[in-house]
Amino acid sequence: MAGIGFRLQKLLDSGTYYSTLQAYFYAAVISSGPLVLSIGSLALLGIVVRSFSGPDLALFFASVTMIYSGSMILTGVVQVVMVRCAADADYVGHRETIWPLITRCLGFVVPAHVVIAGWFFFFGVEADNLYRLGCVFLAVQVGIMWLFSGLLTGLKDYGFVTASFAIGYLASFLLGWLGFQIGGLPWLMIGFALGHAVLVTCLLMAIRREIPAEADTKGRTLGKAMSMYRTLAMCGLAYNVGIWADKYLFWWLGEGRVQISGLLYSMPLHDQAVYLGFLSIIPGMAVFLLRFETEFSARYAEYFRRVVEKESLAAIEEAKKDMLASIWGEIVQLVKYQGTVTLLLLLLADRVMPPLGLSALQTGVFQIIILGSFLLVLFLSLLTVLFYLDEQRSALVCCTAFAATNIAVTTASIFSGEQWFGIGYVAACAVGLALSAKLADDHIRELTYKTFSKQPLFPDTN
Amino acid sequence: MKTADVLLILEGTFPYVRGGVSSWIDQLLKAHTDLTFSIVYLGGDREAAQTKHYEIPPNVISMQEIFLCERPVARDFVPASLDETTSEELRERLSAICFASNDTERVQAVFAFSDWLAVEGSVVRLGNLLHGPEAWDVFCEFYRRSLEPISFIDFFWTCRLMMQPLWKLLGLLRNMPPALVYHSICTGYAGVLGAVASKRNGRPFLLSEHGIYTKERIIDINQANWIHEPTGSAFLSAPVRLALKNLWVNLFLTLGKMTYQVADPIITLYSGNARLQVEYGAERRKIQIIPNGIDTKPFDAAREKRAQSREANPSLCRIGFVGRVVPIKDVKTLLRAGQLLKDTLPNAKITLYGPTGEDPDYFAECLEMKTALGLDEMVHFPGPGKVSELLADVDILVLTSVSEALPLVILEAYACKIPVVVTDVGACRELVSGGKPEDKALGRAGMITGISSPAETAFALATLGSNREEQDMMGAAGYERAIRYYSATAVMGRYSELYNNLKNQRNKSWQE
Repeated sequence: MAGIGFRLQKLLDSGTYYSTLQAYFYAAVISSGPLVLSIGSLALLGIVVRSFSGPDLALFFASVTMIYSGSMILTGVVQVVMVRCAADADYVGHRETIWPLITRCLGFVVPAHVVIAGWFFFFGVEADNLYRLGCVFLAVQVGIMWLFSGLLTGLKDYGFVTASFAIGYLASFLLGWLGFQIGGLPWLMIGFALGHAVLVTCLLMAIRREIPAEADTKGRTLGKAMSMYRTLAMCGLAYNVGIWADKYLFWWLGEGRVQISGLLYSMPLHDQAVYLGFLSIIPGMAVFLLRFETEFSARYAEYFRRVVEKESLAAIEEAKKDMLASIWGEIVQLVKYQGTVTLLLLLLADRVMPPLGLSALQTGVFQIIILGSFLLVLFLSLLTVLFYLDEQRSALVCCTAFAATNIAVTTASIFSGEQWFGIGYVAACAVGLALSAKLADDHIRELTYKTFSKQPLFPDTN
Repeated sequence: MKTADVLLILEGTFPYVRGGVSSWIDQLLKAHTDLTFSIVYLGGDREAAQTKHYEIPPNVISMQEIFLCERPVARDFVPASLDETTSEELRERLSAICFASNDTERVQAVFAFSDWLAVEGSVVRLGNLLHGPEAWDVFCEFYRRSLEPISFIDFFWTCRLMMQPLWKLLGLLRNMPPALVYHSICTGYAGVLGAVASKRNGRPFLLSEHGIYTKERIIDINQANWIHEPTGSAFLSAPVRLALKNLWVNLFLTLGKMTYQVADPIITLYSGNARLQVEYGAERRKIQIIPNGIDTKPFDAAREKRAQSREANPSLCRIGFVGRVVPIKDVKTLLRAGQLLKDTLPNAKITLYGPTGEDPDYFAECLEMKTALGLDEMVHFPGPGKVSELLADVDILVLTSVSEALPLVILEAYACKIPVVVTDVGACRELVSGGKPEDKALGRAGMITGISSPAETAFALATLGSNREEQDMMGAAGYERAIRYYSATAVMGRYSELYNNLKNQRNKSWQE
């Protein structure tokens, strides 16, 4: 008699056991790249603008700041999801479904930017209509730029990408300057935006070179992708809100804020010091990304190799311990590097900042911000670990706490006086760091349990 | 739902699979028109159960089908949140099963666990066992204690794959069709379902085993290539190398023991199987032997026709094989015997009747072998046919199986007065030579050969094939034996008696 005991083998044969683990690294898009880029260009722009000076340029700078920050928050929601879906598609070898997904995201990002930037600049800012149009144009370009920048970690031709940014920013400054000479402020904005259009075009070329664009429109719709990865989408939102919350709060509530035009404000005491202070994360981030790829991901890969290649539980647990040791080892390294940079900047701030146009009070804020940035580097690193482990929910907890702390403490600090400026950002980074450290540690300790027990018995269930 | 007299619990057989057991069930249902039956059919997956090969008679009042490998409902996968007591108890009960010091303890622990899941532990879902920390911890502990160098991922999936069908069975228990007697036709999943249902409802449980399920599963497991064995096996001791296979073996041994513990009586076909059942944990006092029976009437026409066709073909020796072309029937040994017969019995024709689609690779190998051995003239594979018709063209029935219980086809051959050449497996020797002294006195109805021995099979066929008188004598002895000791009426009469006794048994508490 046949019996049925062994129809079961079919289940084993399905082979979908460990799905997209390696792909998760690319989902860690809340990496520092675009962020550093945007704030770096704002800092640079600030220094350039200051050298020209004049009320007109203050409007230009405030507009660009608003466009960059607002666009980042708006795009962040779809960007993370798009990148994750692209990584999934890449992992399963369906790269042809990536392009349709990008176009669907563009179909959301472009109209959203037109509507929101249009509403903001036409109803909230006193300016020339041509200037307002230029702002909307820039907003659209910046939105597309953020969207694309998420895909760049997945591209191989880093040289081309770097060149794109170099050419794009050079073109922006040049065309902006030219426009200003010819037609004043409106044409400065239009020239600057045209430069961004050049950048976006270059990025598009970079992407199209590596991602085949086929006519078919298979693959997930944006709505489906968003609902599938809504936790990730909320992470993107919370994280970007967290990064910008203190700046917005200072513009809206800060004593000493300057109304530039309509809804556009600046906070001279705060803004420039923050942008410059933020840039101090660059060395730490670079070290982290380099070492993380080599050290942690090698151990992570080794762990899953042992799982899949039929090693014993003891061997698997050994690899887990190595991974845990590696993370804390990397964190210690990071503390050393970033700590040195931070210490140096703290000590040198009094001498270096005034020539860049920062007052003594601003230098004080700068010092607080670099302390925050020190913590932010560590927070981002651990957040990357959480993404690597595909612990989206925990990542969301951390990002939400980060945003909430920034909002609450910054609001409190604004009403508590100048000596507290910047403390919201520091506190937010500290809370994010503490939480992500705790959660990453917990998850890695439970990694073997989760790796096995969370697997569905049948592919595509639970 | 109406209470049936008998609930038949079937696994991978009637009405979806053809074969000896299925025919017997068909016979059983048709012989008891005075009783009502419910059927619970356990299958692997639905694809294998598309066409019913047997008609369901009107005395079957309900038929429920459950496919154990099929995906449970989505809700089952979501772990319920357990309070501390339940979580702790689940842990303890799983530990009791995994770390039982002997089989008796393990059997008790499994029964206790299924009872607990039905009442206090009813919040627990499959999701808790698949995804929860309790089962995980117990499995890891089990692994660390005895399996350490084995592939952990294979161990883990083995545990999961073992749990899923059992979980389906548990779900089935909640709405078993009511019946006065539970009757399983094997141990394994069907047996354990009958055992638990019987204990729970206090109704008697009858087990009929044709083949010995536990033994068949152990053979399957040992041949399975999908159960992981570490590479470089030569350096590992057998207990390590076969550890995962042993987990499966232990599962089926436990299911068997659970079934044997509750079932009373335990029926088997012949004394050899009774010995095996005892070996696998059945109590000898509960075992009764009831052989397969045959109704010779449907074969009357074939018998007449055969006599005529023998007259018409005096110079031919038509050898027939009736069965599936699969490895367990060892068709290759028959082909090799055919090669030897070319010299010793040149007028032989071997015809293999039976489905060839079950193991296409094996069939292809057989065809290749037939050509390679130069047997294209002598050997034919016409496919399956109606046994009561095709036997009219058979002078000698041959079987080369490596494993059989009590092959119905031998009785069918007897009904046509056909002598047999069969391997010494299952009840074949008893069928050929007789069991009791007065049975033996009827004379031999054929010849017995060793398994996997082409020479013995060829020798027996040549000896018998060249002596028509002997063929007729043996055929007559077989016919007599079938009528006297294997009549369907007598056999089914014994089942009627059993059913009626058990049906009228008062409810009793089976809980020890």
